[in-house]
Amino acid sequence: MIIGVLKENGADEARVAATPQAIEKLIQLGYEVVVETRSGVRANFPDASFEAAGAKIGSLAEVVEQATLFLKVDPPTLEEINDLPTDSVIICFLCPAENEAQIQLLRRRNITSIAMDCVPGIAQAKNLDALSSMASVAGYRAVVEAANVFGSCLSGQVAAAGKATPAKVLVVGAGAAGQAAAVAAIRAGAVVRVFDHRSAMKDQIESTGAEFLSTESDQAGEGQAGSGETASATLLAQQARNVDIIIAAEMTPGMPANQRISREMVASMKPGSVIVDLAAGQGGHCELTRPNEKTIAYDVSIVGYADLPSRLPTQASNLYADHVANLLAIMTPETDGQFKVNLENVIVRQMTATHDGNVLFPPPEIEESSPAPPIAAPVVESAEVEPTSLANWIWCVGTFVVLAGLLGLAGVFAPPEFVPRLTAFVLACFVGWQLAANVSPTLQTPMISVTNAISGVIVVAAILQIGSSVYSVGSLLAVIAVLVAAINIGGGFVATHRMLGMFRKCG
Amino acid sequence: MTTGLNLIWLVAAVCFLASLSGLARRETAGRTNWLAVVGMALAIAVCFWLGITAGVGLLIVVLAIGVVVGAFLAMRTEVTSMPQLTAFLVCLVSLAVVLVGLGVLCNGRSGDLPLDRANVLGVGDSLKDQTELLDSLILDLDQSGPVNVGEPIGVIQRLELFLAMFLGGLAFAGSLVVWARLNGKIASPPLIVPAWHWINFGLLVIAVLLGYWLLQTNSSTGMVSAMLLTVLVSLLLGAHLVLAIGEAKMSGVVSLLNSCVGFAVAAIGFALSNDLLIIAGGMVGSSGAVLAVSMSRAMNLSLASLVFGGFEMPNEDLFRESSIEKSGSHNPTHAGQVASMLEDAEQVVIVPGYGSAESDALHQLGEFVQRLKPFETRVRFAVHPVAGRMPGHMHALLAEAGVPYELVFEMDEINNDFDKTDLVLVVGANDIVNPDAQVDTGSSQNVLPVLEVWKANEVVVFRRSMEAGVLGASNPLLYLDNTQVLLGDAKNSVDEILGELKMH
Repeated sequence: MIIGVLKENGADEARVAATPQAIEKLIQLGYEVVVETRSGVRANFPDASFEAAGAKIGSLAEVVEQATLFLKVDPPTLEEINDLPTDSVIICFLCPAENEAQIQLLRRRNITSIAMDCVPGIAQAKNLDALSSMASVAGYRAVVEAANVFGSCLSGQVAAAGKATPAKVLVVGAGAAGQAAAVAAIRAGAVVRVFDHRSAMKDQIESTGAEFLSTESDQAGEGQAGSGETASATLLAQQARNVDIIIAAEMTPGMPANQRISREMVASMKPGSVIVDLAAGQGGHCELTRPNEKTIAYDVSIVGYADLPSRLPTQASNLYADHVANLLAIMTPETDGQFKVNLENVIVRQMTATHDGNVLFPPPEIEESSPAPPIAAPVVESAEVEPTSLANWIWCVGTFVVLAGLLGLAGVFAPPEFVPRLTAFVLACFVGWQLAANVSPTLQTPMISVTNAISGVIVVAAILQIGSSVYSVGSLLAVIAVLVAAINIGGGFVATHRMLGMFRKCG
Repeated sequence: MTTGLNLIWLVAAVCFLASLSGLARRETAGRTNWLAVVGMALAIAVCFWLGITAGVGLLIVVLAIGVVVGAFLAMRTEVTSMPQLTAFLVCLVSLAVVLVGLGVLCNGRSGDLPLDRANVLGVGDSLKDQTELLDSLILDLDQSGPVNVGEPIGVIQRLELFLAMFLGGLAFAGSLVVWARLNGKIASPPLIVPAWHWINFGLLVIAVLLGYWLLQTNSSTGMVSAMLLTVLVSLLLGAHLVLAIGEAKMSGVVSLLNSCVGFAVAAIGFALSNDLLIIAGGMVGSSGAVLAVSMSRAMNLSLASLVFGGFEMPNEDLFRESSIEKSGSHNPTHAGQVASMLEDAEQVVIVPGYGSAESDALHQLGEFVQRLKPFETRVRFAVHPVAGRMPGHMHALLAEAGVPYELVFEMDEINNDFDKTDLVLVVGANDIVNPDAQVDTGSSQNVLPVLEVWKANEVVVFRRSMEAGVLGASNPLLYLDNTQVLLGDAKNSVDEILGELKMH
């Protein structure tokens, strides 16, 4: 099967859906790859780098003619969908909830569409979660944009003239974007506070070195959302007067942004302050945000770029392309370059928007109890099921009782000289066990043969049997015993010697 | 005199323990054998010096003959047939144990390690015991014939002798069967008699009853006949147990039998109040047990199922139907292609099975290491714990084939590396690389740990035919897309590949 990588046509879109690094993985999966000319230029991947990775380069017409599986980043426009052949496959950010018309067109043209923004939130799908990766990139870039506009250093400085205090940054929302922003701001030297209504994020945020703000006390239940809203509004209003930079990063995919920053709050901020609104594309966290623009209101700069991930195109493309390659690995179970839509697989089912002329969005809820789908060939089940501790315990006690009983019997019936012998025996067993357990697996055969030779020590008992007279049945038996034991001793030692001599080092 | 004996024996025992400790690392393994030889020489020499008065010349001659014969046997044995030799030697020691036990019974207690009579019968001798003692003394005196006037045999001593004879007989018959099976003198499929569990149980019960009789009887004829019958029963039990075990599990059996002999020697030591035998026997017994446990772990069996389960694991439990197609066709390949694959690969792992030793291909495989050096190919060997016919056997075979031990890896050491491996050569191995063994069916019971070769980029399987392996399960590995099959005798195939490599 041939994979076609389409160029992004959006003016603000610098990312590309496949990078040389990912293309190598795709080729390992058995695919051939055709990349549209100049698709990677804005992300610093010239056509030659794709060719070096094993892909071919072609015009849009050539790509569409050869390939049957298309990779893209942004949702396709209606024209772009019309360019695609029927019965083909497209993998991209689809936003199926918002792009009703595109979905219907994909269905009519019988195109299977996989939405990279519909990755289910289960552990097995972590390596597909492109939205989180993009959010992290955006969070980092938000700090860069803020620093770009902000009139001072983010870090404090001590100069000859005096010292400057570090900038105070408030990050609203502790998701992937918020966390990345907090980390970037801390690295840049700012004092960072992170607000989130979920107090569960506290530990994670504090481990980054930021201060965590939340209105929700630990005892407060989920039911008090109403009072929580007013409380967070008050808290944010209070913070707005104090901080220099607000990074609003509280996005829920597919949902309109929560408008947290009112006109009054902007007005209350210090002149020269900066607000970076990561939700500009979804209506904005700030009342005054204008999408894709930088505005100044009440002497406060408000950055509303909706294309932050695209402003770090190389890294964003690499991450996105790796997620796509991971997805294709799941959907190519035989690694033979044959793409299979297995709707039994929870992950595939959740991400597929149209298939076989049907709209499959919205997907069904994931059942909590559904077992993990087998991802690739045989999965190793190495975890031993521990026997129940009760059975173990009974076994231990049973062994102890039996041993104690035997010892008791020995105490009653055995002669006193038996006890030191038993001591020697038990110690010998224990030491022997430890020594043998230490023997490297390589030397197990010599170990058997040397212990076998050592057991020939029975010859001692045989010799002592002879005693004073050689001429008796007992002595005859003893002589035969000496002979066979001697064969064993000779054989065992010589065999061990030969084998140990064979092991040698390199060179 | 006794003190002298015991002190020298203490030195000998320490030598034995130190010898075993040397095997922990290959660097210290050299001292192993010499320490054990010194210990043995000391133990025997002191017997001649302080122990006995009669028959010294005869015994020295017999000893010398025995050692020379044994050494000759060991020199002549190929490493491939080392398990047979070991089984044979185990057989001899257990025979010696039984003979010594019978001798003790005939001689009464030998007078070389004199002890108080009271000690023999135990503390707190009641009047009754004294009477019994007198009775048996009189009995002995009354009888002419083989029974010498020695010290009579006490109850505890009889019990110890009984254990020694039982274990000795078990090991004798068992190792004889192992030896015959490994030599191909007995048909390979395990012999399962109907109701064989009950036969084992019945024999065990008879043995216990005989033991009871042995403890109760006062006549020496009774003792001797009870002992002989015990030996007979244990022979039957040993043979029957081991006959029911398939060839695939022989490596566990060999270690178990070795352990059995060790404990039998220790039991004789108890009966004769001989500390050297007790220590050496306990050490040998427990070290054999360690190996048996580690072998049964490698096959994911419990030790109990190793002994009484007849070792037979039902294949349908072990290898489950996986999603991998078993029908369809395999991808055949030829020597020239494998040679060029070897040259192109950077990481090569060779998985030898016992089949490769049987067809004598290991030396040629070892040559790959040298031959591929100019191509900057890293060749390693992966050894499954049960790849040979006794514990560590494959390591010994590879060492004999001249493969440096740094290149030989255990299953646990190398299993994670297969996905970074370009090419795996599976030579004469089947069940230990069967992906079906790992198919998860929810329960983790009965999962045979295997080498996960299918994770490698390419796999070449050398096979004589497309038939199923020792455990009778068909192997889906052969039908995977990244697997190629090279049919034919392993040695010839490897020779051809070496020839192709030479031509380049």
